[in-house]
This record gives sequence, C-alpha cells and structure tokens, in this order.
Amino acid sequence: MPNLIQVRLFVTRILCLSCTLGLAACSEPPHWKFGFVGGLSGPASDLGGPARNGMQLAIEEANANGGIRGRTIQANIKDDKQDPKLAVQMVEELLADKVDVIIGPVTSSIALEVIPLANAAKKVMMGLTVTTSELNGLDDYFLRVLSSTDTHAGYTAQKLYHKAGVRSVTCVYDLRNQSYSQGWIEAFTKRFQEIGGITKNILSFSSQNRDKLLGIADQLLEESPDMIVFVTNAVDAAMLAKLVRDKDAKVKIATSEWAGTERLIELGGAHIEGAYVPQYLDRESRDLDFQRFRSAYKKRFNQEPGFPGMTGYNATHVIISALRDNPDPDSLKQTILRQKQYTGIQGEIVFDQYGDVTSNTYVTQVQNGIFRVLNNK
Amino acid sequence: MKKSRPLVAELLRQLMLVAGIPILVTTGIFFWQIYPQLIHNISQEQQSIATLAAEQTQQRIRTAEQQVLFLLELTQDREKIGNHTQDISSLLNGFVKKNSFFDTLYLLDKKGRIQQIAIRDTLQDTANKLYLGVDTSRSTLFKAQGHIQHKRWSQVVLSVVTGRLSIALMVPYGNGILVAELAIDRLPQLSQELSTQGLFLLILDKHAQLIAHPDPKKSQQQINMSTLSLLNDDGQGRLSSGTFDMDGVRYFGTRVKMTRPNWNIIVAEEQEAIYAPLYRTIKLWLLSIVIIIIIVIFFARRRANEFSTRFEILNKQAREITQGRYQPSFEEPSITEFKELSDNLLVMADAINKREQSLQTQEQQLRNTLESAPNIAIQWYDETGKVHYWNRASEHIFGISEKQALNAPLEQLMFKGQSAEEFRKSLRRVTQKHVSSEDFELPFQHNSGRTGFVQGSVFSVPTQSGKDLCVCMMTDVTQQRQAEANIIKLNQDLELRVEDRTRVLRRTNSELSDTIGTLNETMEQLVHSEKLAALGSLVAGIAHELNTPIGNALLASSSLNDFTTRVKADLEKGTIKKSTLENFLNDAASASAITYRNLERASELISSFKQVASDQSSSQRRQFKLRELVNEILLTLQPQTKKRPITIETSIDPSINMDSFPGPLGQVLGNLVINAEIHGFDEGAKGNIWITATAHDNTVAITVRDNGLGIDEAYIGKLFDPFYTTRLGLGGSGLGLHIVHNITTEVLGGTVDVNSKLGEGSEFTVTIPLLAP
Repeated sequence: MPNLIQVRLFVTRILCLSCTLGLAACSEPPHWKFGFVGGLSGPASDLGGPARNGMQLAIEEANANGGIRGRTIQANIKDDKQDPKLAVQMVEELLADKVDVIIGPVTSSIALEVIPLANAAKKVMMGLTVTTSELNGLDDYFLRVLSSTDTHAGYTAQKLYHKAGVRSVTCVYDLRNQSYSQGWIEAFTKRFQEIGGITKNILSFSSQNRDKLLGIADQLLEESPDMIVFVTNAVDAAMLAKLVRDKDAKVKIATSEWAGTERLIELGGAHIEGAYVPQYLDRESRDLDFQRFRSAYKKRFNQEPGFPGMTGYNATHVIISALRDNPDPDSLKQTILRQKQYTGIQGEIVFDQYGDVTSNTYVTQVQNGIFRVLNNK
Repeated sequence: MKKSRPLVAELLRQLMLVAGIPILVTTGIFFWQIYPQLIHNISQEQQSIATLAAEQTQQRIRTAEQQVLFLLELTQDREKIGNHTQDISSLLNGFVKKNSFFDTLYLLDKKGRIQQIAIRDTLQDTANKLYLGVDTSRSTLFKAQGHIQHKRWSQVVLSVVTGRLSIALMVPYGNGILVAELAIDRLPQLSQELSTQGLFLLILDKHAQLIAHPDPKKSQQQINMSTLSLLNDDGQGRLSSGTFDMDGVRYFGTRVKMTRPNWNIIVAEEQEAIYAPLYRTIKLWLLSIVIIIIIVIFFARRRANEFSTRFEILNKQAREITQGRYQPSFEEPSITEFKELSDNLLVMADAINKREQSLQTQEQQLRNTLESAPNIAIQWYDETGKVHYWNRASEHIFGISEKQALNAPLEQLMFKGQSAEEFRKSLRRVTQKHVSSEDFELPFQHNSGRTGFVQGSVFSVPTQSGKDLCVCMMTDVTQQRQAEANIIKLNQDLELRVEDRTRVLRRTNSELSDTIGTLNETMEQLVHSEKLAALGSLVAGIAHELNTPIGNALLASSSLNDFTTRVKADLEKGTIKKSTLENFLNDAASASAITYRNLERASELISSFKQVASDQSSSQRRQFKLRELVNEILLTLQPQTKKRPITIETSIDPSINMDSFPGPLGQVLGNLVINAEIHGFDEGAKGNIWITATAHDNTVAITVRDNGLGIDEAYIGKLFDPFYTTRLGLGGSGLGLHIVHNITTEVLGGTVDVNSKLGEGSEFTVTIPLLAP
C-alpha cells in the first residue's frame, strides 16, 4: 500500500518539523559553574572582595575568549561573612547546585571547617588566601596557589631581625582566624628566637567590640619591645596602630601579610607610616603580566588588586587552564597535579603532589602611603 | 513522467495550506505587533516605577541633607555663644541618636584628623578614646574630596571609623569638614521598601558599585557591576531599558540616572516572570496547531477513502470501455458529479465506437491507395525483417508475389548478401528509435536474376500491439544510375584532355622564362659594355690630357738632346767657346725645367686618373671629398665635353665629406653630364651645365642642371626605364639613365628625381646619404 506509507511519511515529517522548531527555541548550551565562597562582608571582606573580583576578571576574560571549549563560565558567589557555620551552609548550597569547582574560602579558619565537605563530595576546592600550615602535605581535594604561613612568617622574622634591627617583639593576634594567626605567630617567634631575637609577650583578642582594643594597646607597650607585630586584619591593624601611636611615637610596628591590603594604608593614615608589612605580591613589579593584570583590574573595579585580587585571579586561571586541557570536572584534581606548572601573574605556579605551592614573600615598609619592598642587599 | 501523489496526501496538503495561512498570519501579528507592544508596556511600567523610586530616593537623601544642614546651623550658633567643644559633641550625639539616616558623624580638621565624633550605639567616651585624632588623610573619602566648598556626596568608601562600607555627606565647616556617614548596609532597607511584587530595585554608585539590593547580603559584597550592559548604552538620556544577566539569571530592567548623588537606579524583573504569560500563550497556540493538524489528517483520510471507492468504480467502468465493452452497466452513483462523470464515460464509449468504425473505413481507403501506387514499392516489416505487407508495385519491381514475400525470410527477397544485411540494420535502427527515419540506396536482384538499384526510405509507425512496424517505400532507380555512370565516364575523358593542354602550356611557359633569362643576360652585358664604353672614353680622356705635357717634355728633352750633341761636337772639335757653353747651360736649364714641369703635370694627371679608374672599375668604398671627386670626374670627361661649346660650372661646398662608393657615384654623375650634353643640346648649340651640391643633415643633394631643350612631359615617366632612348640607332643604348637610377637606389641608397620643361632645360637631382648604407 504505497499510498498509506506516503501518508504516514508526510504526517511524521510535519510532527518532526514542529518538534524541532519547539526544541530549538528552548535549548541552550550548558555553562560551566564555578562556585565561590569567601568573606565578602564582615571582618574578612578586604580579602574576600578583591579575591572575588580577581576571579570575576579571570572568568570575564575567559568568556570573552569563547569560554572553555565553547562553553561560557557562570559564577555562583556565596558570602560566608567569616562565620564558620554560615560557610558550611554556603558550601553545601554550592555542592547542591552541582558546581564544577569551588573557589575559596579566603581565611584558614573557614577553610578548616569546609574542606571535609569538599573531600566528601570529591569536589576540588581551590583555596585563595588560605595559608595555614595545618593543611600542608595532605592528599585531599583542597589546592592552593600561595605557600603556607610558616614559610612567609619565618622569612619575615629574618628580614625584621637583619634589616630593621629588631631584637625584641610583642605580638598580638586575632583569635577569630586562629588557625592562620596562631600558626603565623608560632612560625615567626620560632624563627625569630632561632636567630637571637626575644619574644617579650604574645596577646590575643577575639571580640568584635572595639573598646577592647584600648586595653590591648596599653598591654602591648608594657615591656617596651623594639617592635609590635599585629597578626590581624587591616581594619584592626590600622586601629591598633593609631592607639599605639597615641601612646608611643617611636616603637616599630609590623603586621602579617593578612593586613597587607590597600585598606591598611587607607585606614591607617599617618599612624601606619613606617610600619613593616610582608606581602604575597610585589606591587612595584615591572613584570608585563602583572602590569597588564593590574591595569585591567583597576579599570574594571576602580581599585588596586592587592594580593587577594591577584590570588583570586591566579586560582581561577589555574582552573580554567586545567579544564581547557581536560574538560572532565571529576578529574580536575588529577589534571592540575599532572600538569603541575601554570603561568601566574607574578611567576610560575608549581604544585607539589599534595596540591601546595611555594610562593614568594616580599617584606615592605610603608613610606608616604606606599608599600615599598625592602632592599634585598 | 511527473510523479503522482495519492489523493489523501494531496487533500492533506491543501487542507494544511488552508489551515496554515491563518496560523502564519496570527503568528506574524503576534510577533510584529503584540509582542513589541507588550515589551513596550513593560518598559513603560518599569520606567515609571524607576522614576518614582529615583524621586523617592532623591527625596530621602534631600531630607537627610537638610537635617545635616540644620545641625550645621545649630552648631555654628553654639560656637558663637562659646564653650562650644562639649556642646558641639553633645549636639552631634543627639543628632546621631535621633536621626534615622546617618549613623556616624564627625568633624575633620583641614589635615584630615578627626576632631569631634559621635557614633550611634557607642559611648561618647569610648568613641573619643578610639577615634579622636585618627588620620583620614589617606582615605579615599578625604583624598577625593579633601577641600570642598559645598556639600557633596561621596562614592561608596570604607569608613575610617567603622571599617564598614559607607557613603558620606560632606559639608564644609570652618576650616574643616563635617562628615555624616551612612553604612550602606542600611540602604537595602530603602531598596526593600521600594521593591514591589516581582520587581526589585538596585542602587549603584557612580563607579557602578552595588550599594543597595533587596537582599542585604548582596549590598555589602562590594559588587562592581560596571560590565552591566544596561549601564553601557550611553547617550540614551536619563532612562534606558533592556535585558541583562546577573548571577546567571536574565533580567529585563530599566535604568534611571540620578544627578545628586551621581547614582544609577535599576528597576528589574526576571525575564522569565515577564515572559511567563507569553510562554503560556505560545504553548496553547502550539497545542491548538497540533489539534488542528490531527483533525485535518483525520478528515482528509475519511474523505479520501470515500472518494477512492467512487473513483475505483469509475476506474472499472473505464477499463471495461478500454477492453471494447462499450455498454457496461453499473449502479448509478449518488453524487451528481460522479453521476455526470459516469454518464460521460458512456457517451465517450459510444463516441470511441463510432470513431473506430470510421477508422476502419479510412484504413481500407488507405490500403487501396497503397495498392494502386504504380511505381512505389511499399512494404511493412517487423523488426525481425518479416514482411507484413507487400503492395502490387513491389511485385512488379522485384518480381516477387505478395504470397511469396509474406512467407519468405528477408534474405530470400530482393536484397542479397551485403544489401540484405544493411537493410536489416536500417530496420533495426528505425524500430529501436535511434533514428526517426532513414534513407538508403541499395542494389537488388530481380526474381528473374537481373540486377538494379532501388532508392527508398524506411520509418516506423506504432501499432496497436505496442510493437512498431517499419514502413518501407522504394522506387527503382536503375535507369537513373546508368545515366549517371555515363556522365562520370564523360567527365573522366574531359579531365584527360585538360591534363594534355596543361602540359603544353607548361612547356611554353618554361620557354618563355628561358627567353626572359636570355634577355636579362643581354641587358647585363649591355650594362657591362656601357661601363666599358665609359672606361674607353676615360682612357681617351687620359691620353688626350697627357698628350700636352708629355709632348712638351718630349720637345724640351729632344731640344736638350740637340743642344748637347752640338756642344759635345764643339767640345770634341775643341772649338767650344765660353759663350757657347754658357748658352748651352742656360738652354739646358730651361729645357730641363720645362721637362720637369711637364712631367710633373703628367704625373699628377696620371695619379688622378688612376684614382678614377680604380674607383670605376672596383666599386670600393672609401672616404672622399665630394668636390674633389666631381673635379676628377669632369677631368675624365673632358675629351667628350671639350668638343662642344658647352660650359660646365660647379658649385660644391668643399667641406662635404662622404663615406660612400666613389666609382658608382662618378658613373652616375658622368652619365648625367654626358646625357645633358648629348640630349639637352642640339649639335653645336651653346649652353651651360651647372653641377651643385648641398648637404642637409645626413644627406647630400647633387643637382645636374642644364639650360637646354628640356624633356617632353610625355617622356618624363619613362626616362628611367631600361632601353628607353630617343636616339635609337644613333648610338644610344637606352641604358644611361636606367643605370643612374639603379646605382642611386641600390648602391648609394638614395633617390633620383627629374624636373624638366620643354624648352627650359632639365634638372636631375640625386639625393644620397653621406654615409652610404
């Protein structure tokens, strides 16, 4: 019955045509989903904000170049407010959203809380300004593009002893980011004492209440140290510097890398002048990649990138490069560790077998409101 | 053949077309009219909301501004009264507590240090201890607005006091600034208040940093939205609408620019929410299309089946008619058109029947016609060569009866061997349609054994059985062919005759060319003898010229000889006298001088003649002066010219140097001069001959002119032809001027012209290049 076959063919054709038209209107290529978790507001916002911006810049640049293998990247950004409970909730939300990778968090204390979640879900978590030594040498799903605190703190101790002539210190640290700050103090004092320095006192605070800082300032000066070291964020470091300077105009001041953001200069004003600040990046670098990155960042966000911005950019860049190499998000960790070497904004980023890297420390001094790298001679 | 479609498909197609056009039209109306209108309405609505929100925000800010200004006035009043520090501090504190907008107030001195401060929810004393003296000079706030004249709003900055993101109103106060700060985490409240069902409101500062979002979390995240497409379409005035992406969601929004502060307000709604009713409509519309299609298919099939049955009956009827049953009977269809069709089929059958009968009659007539054609053999063959028809003319021409022909194979008919094969091929080509018809001419054998030629053509006609039959028509052309053979023989004879004639002609021609060769040879001999004659006259000229000096020398030397003999005799005799000896010596000197002078003259002449002779006999090329050459030539001509009373004058520029052939040139000039003397003047008549030469660029024009008789115009054209002479039989060879022409054009590479009028003399001009080719 040729007639019947032809009729059926005709009807099928019409149905197919309408279905194709309908589907074509509805479907779109899938996006890559990058999750971000970090303190965008609250005490760590001077790390989280620029780090998030750095990530966004890297994503926007990649998307402008056609994305990864033809698919564009979408970011799902979560604010943990430097609150561990909230951070866990946010990471759970990201995992539920089936993100391809999580970028963040920005502080060590939060990292320790959320890494188990990432490990359980076998999802790569690319840490930003998380430098605690507690995470060294672990074969887990947490990777990072900055070396651990002890490297930086030890190097800073050496520099301060030899270049600034400091022989005795009193330290103060923020308990709210204990895993970083305590680790930093330990590594710093250990090295400082090894080369002959004296640690006169170690203080800590945890309250958000600022009037507590008044009392701390007095205690810091009690034993007349050569130098006071703040292992706090930039806002607290600026405040403490002001309170110390109100009482003693001569004592030397230093901070850890944590405070080394642009905010320290803004908030510290004249009080922070002359302070020693170690940095993860060299702001005066003539490196072309850095110059290009810095001007793109300033154009996009109307501010300096600082180390968090650079770290956010580097971390995202590593992930994008790895996914371009092998687009399977489930084997992302293996891809990164196999490829090992990536080009960063200031030099190569080389991962070891545990996903850790070794990065530089630049000890700077605030001079006329600018971080100047101490002469290496 | 065009592919036929089943009735169902055709019906379906047409019904679809009918249903499709309204669907397309409504789609068009929807997409070109309703949809843009919908979008327009939404953007209108959003624009009014956005404008309203902007006004409200502006209003709030203005109110807050006025409160601060009022506080400022109060403070200044207190200052006038004195004891201001404590007072002002409590004033600021009071303001911060009561005011709902700002949460921090402080006074900066001109260096940017905090002088007075009041913070909501903070004890005055603590605030003072913590913040008095804080240096804000490096803060974005102070750096951007350090010295202000008027009140001003900052962008979003980090509060030096609280460390939180804030916006600040700054008002000049004495030498310093009064700063009123609002933490931006309070702005979302504003945004929440202004956001309505489904719509939400964003506030961005002048650097596109998000400062208010209904979700307070977002406001504090320092999100920079400068890449938002909505912000980047500048030049569209205060308001602009469009879609944008945020957090992976597509929104449709409207932006309003505020002026003070320089913020942007965006009112947006998820695009999906806007389009939800639209999508519902589209879904319904698609569903209705599908239903229509199903109905159409169902309807079309049913109708098609009904029609099919009807058509099947009619088909059967038609088949019966085809098979020759012209009166089929069927039940009458109920539908008028089908009934008409059925009736028409019957009428048609009747008509066919009648037509068939008339055809039979026509066939009989045709057959009779074919039979009675007297000289045209007509036969029908099938493709195997079997005869189906054999007319009477065929019997006559080939001597084979119809009965024999119908039963015999093709080879036993009139064509034998090769002819039979070719004929069969023609039949095959025609039946297999390679050719529509084919002409042929073949030899045949009459049944009686006589041979001949037939000319014919074969073409195919369709038959009822479906196989084609070949119709073959032939005429006997045996007699025509014989006549043609005779003509061919005649032609061949004619050709032989023409060949004979041609041979005779060729011989005559060769004799003629021999004669011409002889003539040419004769002419060359004549030219040669003319040259010899010239040489002869040259020799005569030389002899004549030498005669005088040599004669003189002979005379002088013979006299000297006489003198010597006489003196010798005297000397032997011893009768010699001194005077005799003196006389002898004088005479001897005189005689030897004469001898010497004359011999020298002779020597000059000889060398001159030698040159001319050498030139004339050898035709060698060399460099020479034209004047000298002409003089030498004239010298050699003297024996001939002297006899007549004709004066020859030359006028030649002595500087004309030539590199040419002096011999031939001399012959040319000699011929022209002699020609002028002999032909230009009557015997004994006086006259002049002028030889002139002028050089132009690389050529020289030599003119030989006389004032003699001139030349009749009728002769001028023939002057240079060979053997043309007016003195035939009087010694002229008729080659003189021909030689002149030949030498000038071929040896010297120039031209010769003549200009003459009867009774006025002639002028020959030889124009040749100074450097001969």
